[in-house]
Amino acid sequence: MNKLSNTFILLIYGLILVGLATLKGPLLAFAIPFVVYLTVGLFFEPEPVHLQAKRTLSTDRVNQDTPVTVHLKIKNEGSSIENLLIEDIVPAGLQIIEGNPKLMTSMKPGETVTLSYTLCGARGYYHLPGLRTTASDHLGLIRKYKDLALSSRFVVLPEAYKLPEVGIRPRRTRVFPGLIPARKGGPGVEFFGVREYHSGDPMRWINERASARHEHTLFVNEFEQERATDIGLILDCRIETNLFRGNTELLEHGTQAAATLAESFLNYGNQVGLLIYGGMRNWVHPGYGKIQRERILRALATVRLYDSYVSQELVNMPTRLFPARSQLVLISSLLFQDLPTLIALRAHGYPLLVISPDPIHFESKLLGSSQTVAQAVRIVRLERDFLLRLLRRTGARVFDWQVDQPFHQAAHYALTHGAAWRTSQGVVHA
Amino acid sequence: MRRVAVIAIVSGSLGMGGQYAVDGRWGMVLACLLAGALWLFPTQYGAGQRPTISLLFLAGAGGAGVYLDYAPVWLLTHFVILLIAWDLDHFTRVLQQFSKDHAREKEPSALFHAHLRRLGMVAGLGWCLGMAALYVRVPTRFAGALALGLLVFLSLQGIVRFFDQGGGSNAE
Repeated sequence: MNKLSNTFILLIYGLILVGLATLKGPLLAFAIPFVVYLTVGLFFEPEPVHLQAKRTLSTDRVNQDTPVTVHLKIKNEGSSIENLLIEDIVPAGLQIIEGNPKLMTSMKPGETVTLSYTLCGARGYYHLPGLRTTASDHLGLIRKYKDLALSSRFVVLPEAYKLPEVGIRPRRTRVFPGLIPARKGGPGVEFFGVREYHSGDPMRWINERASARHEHTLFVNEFEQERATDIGLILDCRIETNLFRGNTELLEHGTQAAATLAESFLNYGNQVGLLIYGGMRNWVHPGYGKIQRERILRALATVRLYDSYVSQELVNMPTRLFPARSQLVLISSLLFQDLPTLIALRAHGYPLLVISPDPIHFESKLLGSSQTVAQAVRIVRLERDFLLRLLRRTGARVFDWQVDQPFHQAAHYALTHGAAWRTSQGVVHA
Repeated sequence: MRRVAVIAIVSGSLGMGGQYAVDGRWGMVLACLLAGALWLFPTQYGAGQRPTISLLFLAGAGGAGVYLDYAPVWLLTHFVILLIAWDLDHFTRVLQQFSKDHAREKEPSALFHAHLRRLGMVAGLGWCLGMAALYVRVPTRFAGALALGLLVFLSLQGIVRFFDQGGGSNAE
């Protein structure tokens, strides 16, 4: 706010001009207090500001909706400042939930002031660039501005919920133990078959009923081995599949699903990679463990919508980034023109799980409930059902997800091994 | 703090209105009171353009009092009160936007008192000089008066330009 407003100047000039024009001395006298007010400002002009500041954040990585507390310590290394306004510049996308990033104070030489406030924000990388300080006299007439570079960064990661299991059955597994059924007999939990006894087999594996039917031959139970596998997560960030009426986005839901799936797959010891498909190639090389989880979540934190001519269709998806015949999980609301690419993926031997946030259900709620809307919804619903049916025919497993329900809740029912067993063709409805 | 600003606004508008009340011009009294109320409303509920309108109206009313032969001493006093009201209104609104220094809980109050001291000094000096201008008569010729007027304008222009450029920005 500019203290020396035009009104103030207008008032002084007005009084003087009218006083001179009408030869009324008192009007000139009335202008004197205002002129004195301005003149005093000249005598108390603030000295150049010399401040030293230190900012500490409670953490540099948080989950979504988790607050970050910012502490600022500012020391005056110059002369006395009558009025000092300190403003920590908070980037867009962050909300201040407690405290105030602005402070007005006076500072003597060598004095230190503290400022603290709490931020909360949507997922993303945030950079607090520095402080803007304004020194002035008590009346605030002359102001000296100074920007203090004080860089701090933190990342808000998407929330990753825990899923008890995700029922995938890829044909190819790795040699390492995990929780994915490997379609191979051996030590495990689930019954797989019966075979002839070999020397060294544990006695408790002997199937007595089968052995009783054959003289001189012993049979043992075999269990299905559980191994780790390669999983490629593909998050569709194309504007065509994510942006809807009123700039509402499905992408947040997709990101949350990707984070939850990555967490779940990595917890089972699988090797997981992530491809963010849309604009520039954003790729997290497959890996294991907690460090990989961090890499994936950090990549997901930067996800935004892309409008690129090159990636308007899935045909340019670089599938060679994923190991051959590895399990692919595509998170996309799907377009009809994506179908040939997905069919090609299946033909190349990639087992495919498609998590498809339902765009019709999402957008229809924004359109209100008129007869025209209902009819339009019905038509596009038929089209989408047809698309999903064609996709299921390729052997892909499709989870048609209505985003009203959080992903971890919807997936808990629909993506477990039980659900996979219930739906022999992999047809799962949320 | 805000209470002091409110008292100054009420005093300013009542004082200006009071001049007209003595003369029996009730329409102007009502207008002055309305201007004060209009000014007070954004002071209580946030910023707005209304203080500007009210200040200009009340100053205009005070200026008009000269042509109605009202006592210039009182008019000058009311002008000084208007200046105080305008300054305090602005300052309290600025102060409300910013947090307190947690280490020094009484910081806003200390700032306000320092501001009041400086403002009191300015108002006192302004009133005294205004009174001197009202009652001390210096005989001068037209050319001298014109030269003085020019000097005042040039000085004012210099001050305003200085304030406009005042501060500047530098990064560290």
